[in-house]
Amino acid sequence: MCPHTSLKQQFLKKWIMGLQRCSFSKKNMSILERKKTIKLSADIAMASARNGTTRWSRALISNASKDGSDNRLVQQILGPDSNTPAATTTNKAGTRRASVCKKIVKRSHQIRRRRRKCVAAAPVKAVTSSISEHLVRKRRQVLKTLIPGGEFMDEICLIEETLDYITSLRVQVDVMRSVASACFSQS
Amino acid sequence: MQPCSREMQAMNSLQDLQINVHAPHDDFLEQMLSTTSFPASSSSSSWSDLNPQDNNAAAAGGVHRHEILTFNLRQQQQINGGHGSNPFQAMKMMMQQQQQQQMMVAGFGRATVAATAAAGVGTHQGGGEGSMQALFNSLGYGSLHQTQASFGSDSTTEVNHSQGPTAAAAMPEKPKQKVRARRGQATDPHSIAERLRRVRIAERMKSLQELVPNANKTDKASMLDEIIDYVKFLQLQVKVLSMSRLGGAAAVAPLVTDMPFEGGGDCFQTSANSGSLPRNSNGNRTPSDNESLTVSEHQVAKLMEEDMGSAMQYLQGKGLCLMPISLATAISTATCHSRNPMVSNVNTNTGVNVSHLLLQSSGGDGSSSPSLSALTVQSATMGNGGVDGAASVSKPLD
Repeated sequence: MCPHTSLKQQFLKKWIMGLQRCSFSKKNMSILERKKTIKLSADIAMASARNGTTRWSRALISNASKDGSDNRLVQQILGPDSNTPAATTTNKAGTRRASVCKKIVKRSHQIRRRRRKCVAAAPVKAVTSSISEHLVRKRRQVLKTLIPGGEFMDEICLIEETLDYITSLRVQVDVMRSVASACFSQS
Repeated sequence: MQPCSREMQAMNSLQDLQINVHAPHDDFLEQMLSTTSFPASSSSSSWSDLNPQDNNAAAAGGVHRHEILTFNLRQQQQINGGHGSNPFQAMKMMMQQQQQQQMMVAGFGRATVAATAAAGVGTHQGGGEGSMQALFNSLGYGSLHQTQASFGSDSTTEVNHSQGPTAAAAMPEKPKQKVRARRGQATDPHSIAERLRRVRIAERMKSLQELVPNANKTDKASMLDEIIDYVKFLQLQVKVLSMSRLGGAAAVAPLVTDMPFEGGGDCFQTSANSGSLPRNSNGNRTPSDNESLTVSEHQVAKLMEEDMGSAMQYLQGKGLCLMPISLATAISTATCHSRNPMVSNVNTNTGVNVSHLLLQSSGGDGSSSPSLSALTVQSATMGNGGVDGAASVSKPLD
């Protein structure tokens, strides 16, 4: 799938802006610091390109703005749009509550289903299906740790967010790689 | 009219698996029989007539499945009208329809449609043909297993499906008075919600399949595995690319991590671009090991010129990986373990100034072990084609 060039251009613009802003502040930074700032600015540019439509972007921005030192950078990149941190925190709290409620409901369903299972199903089938469910659940947990803000999403949202996150990551990688090759070809 | 009535019930049987129902006992069926006609020639009017009945009958969730069922039934009608009761042709049509349905309906719809279709045709042709009944049962079971394997299913509905064909086969002719609702289907709002949820998840997994390479797995667990690996790999690429922008010699030591690949040996080849390697040919060191390495090195170099993907696979088959020279020097000077015994350099003499390293996996096993403890990294200081080469390593399907 080819991501839209408009998305790439947006990301590039914001990223360059962020780089410029943060390079003016410090002249001598260690390598790791520079790497961190570059990555951070890229991530935030990526997330802001989504304009708060997806959860992972909001979670990313809120995580970045939680840290005091990076807050400046975040503010600079986001521009005058300073109300997003507040929105993200409320959103996270809301989704957390919602997910907890959903978990309770889900667990009750599972219990009911398990009771029905014991009556009707052959024991072999129940065992195999529970094993597969266990495997899937484990992997879903891993995925939740990977996607920013994924711990508070239910399954459907998780997959949607993964989709979006993957596309934006690809855009990020493409743009960064082309910029890198451009830089190196010139030098 | 008897066979027709039974088939009508089969069609409506998202709620009802006991298919031997007399029409007068069911208002819904009366409506169906009175308003709709079953001509051998397909007419859109019957289609549209069937549709609203269906929508009224089966509560919510997955309307398109009803449509598929009606379509199925219509074809049955056509068959029966055209060929009398030629069982094998009907069976063929059924199998084709099943295949079509399997393409159309994702995930769980398959089980219901296949089972009911099989049950419907089975009852129509009577329980006498034992072989065909067995075939239909196996068909039902086959589709059941497939769906179960695919998306971690709800076993109650499956159990009902498995009981359905056998029950239908057992009492084909006996008229039953009561209509038993399938357990957990359409009467229970929770199960409807469950079904909806599962359908949505299946849709999204499908779109994810197109996005992630190597996504030809039907199993949900392995699909999630691929997704996880891909996301990790992309994140790593971003991290390394952000380091490559620095343009200086990078202490890429933090890149060496343990990446446990779960689920199968054919995993992603994570190659990170540490582009900050010096362009000067730093690595002309002779291999500190026996001559057997040089041969493989030359082979790998040759492979690399043509196709990075196969080169990496070849390396992985030998239990080797690539890493930048600076990292290898750091490792070899810092740790003199027996775990990382051999470090050798390969300098390709192409116009592209590439410097690689080969390092044996510290796991020690030469086979393609999933537990590579060192990342395969590759310098991004390759020129024009090189960067794309790096890309082709990371995405073997590109």
